[in-house]
Amino acid sequence: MTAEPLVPIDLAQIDVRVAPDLLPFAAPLENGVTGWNDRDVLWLGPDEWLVVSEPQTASTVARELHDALAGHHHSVLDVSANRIVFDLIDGLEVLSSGCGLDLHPTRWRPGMCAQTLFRKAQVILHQRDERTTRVFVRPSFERDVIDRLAATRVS
Amino acid sequence: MLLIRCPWCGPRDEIEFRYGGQAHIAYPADPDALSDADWADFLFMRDNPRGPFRERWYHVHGCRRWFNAVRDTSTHRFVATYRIDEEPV
Ligand SMILES: [Zn+2]
Repeated sequence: MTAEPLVPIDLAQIDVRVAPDLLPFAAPLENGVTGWNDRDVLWLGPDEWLVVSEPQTASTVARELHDALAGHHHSVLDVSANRIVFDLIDGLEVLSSGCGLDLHPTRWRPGMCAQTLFRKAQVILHQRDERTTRVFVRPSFERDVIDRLAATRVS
Repeated sequence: MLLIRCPWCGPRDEIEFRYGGQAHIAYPADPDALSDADWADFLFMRDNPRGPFRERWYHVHGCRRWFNAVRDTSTHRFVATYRIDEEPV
């Protein structure tokens, strides 16, 4: 893990729940991430996904989803304020100190995501490339998670 | 550490899960027709076997889905986990 301070990234986050075959993009496999234009689509559950896109685009993405799913039972929610996001570089070993997930590179690969725990905090992990892990954490746990990551890094 | 296999997410640490009691207890088709004793039986009385037991579990810190498991109550071994709409293997 590099020694730069962890800076939150401003991103739009939209939670969508619907039957998978109705999605206007190819649904990612379990624990997987796919692209939808320039957006990331994270698998959260068998009928739930998180669309992550550029800041200030939440209403645009939400409208696109509502339009595509009109007439079908669905839910689209702007949850951009729900989680703080930051990118960890070379942080898998540090994450492993507080996470039961198997983060060894043979099992945890770029393009994967998971909802899990880092110590007591619920997190979403998204492996963006070999080195970069995007971490989503509830705002009230942000300080704790960042402090724990930093403490593990120096010790 | 006990690993539990979520039928959606795969094997995960047991602290990500919450227990939900005995599985496959159907809601009474006509609750009004039940006697108080039968209603209490439906609400409160659960099997307590030694050995394989079908249970509900909730992946609260993961996909937040309910699923079923067969767990051996004498060894804590998870014999199988399966989705709500599946039959145990
Ligand atoms: Zn799960």
